Amino acid sequence: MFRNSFKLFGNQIRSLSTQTRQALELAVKEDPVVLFMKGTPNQPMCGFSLRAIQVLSMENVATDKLATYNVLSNEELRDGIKEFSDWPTVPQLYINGEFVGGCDILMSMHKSGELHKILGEIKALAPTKPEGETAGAN
Amino acid sequence: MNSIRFSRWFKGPPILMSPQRVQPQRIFKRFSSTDGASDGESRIRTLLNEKLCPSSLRVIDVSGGCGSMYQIVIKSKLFQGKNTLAQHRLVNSILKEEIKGMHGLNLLTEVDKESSKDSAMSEEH
Repeated sequence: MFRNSFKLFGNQIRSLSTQTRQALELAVKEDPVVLFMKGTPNQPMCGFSLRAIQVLSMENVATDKLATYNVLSNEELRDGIKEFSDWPTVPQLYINGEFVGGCDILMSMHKSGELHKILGEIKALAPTKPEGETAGAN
Repeated sequence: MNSIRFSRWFKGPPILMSPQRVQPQRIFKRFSSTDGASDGESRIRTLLNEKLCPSSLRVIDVSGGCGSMYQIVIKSKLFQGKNTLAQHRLVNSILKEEIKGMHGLNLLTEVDKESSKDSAMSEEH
């Protein structure tokens, strides 16, 4: 189900409405790797979001394990995710429902190999084709 | 129960279009210590010096003076025992008000591993 627009509840705009919180709680757990970004993977709308998706691309994250959410498509999402994560900026990466960090953290984890290790542990990496070597058994 | 589903990019291969020209990861603009430092840089510097007593701190406005994007590189003993995320959260909380006005923040934190027992320097700046 895709819903692009929905109303803020009542006149009391608490910083994070219960429904938004619930929706986010579901969203971060629904897929092993969840990235909240500006724009989409094919068209990032911000340099930091671009870097984040590039890191994930370089790590060869399996496409069926990754979901991305475009915060620019929805104001409540954009504000809500900052409140939800207690993190002031986007992009934001969640792995197995746990907040990992933003672009800076992602890049340093990528460089250190930590990100690769975590993604491997949760089996979120796409299988790489062996180059030039034949597999042991068919 | 009504569930809010945010508009979501349908899963597909995250293939980027043409290779984007990636900005260099760090843009170093060296200013002399206080000359040319913008108000924003000074405020940030003051806040971080007060709260974290860093052994090294670099705050650079990389938005060309607009105050919309900063690069901060900070090394502090107060990061000891914290993982990277916790270190970043600490800086975020100190700069909470400043960050509200920013478009972006490029933050690099480092733990100063030197133990206070070994160091003869006072921690007060």
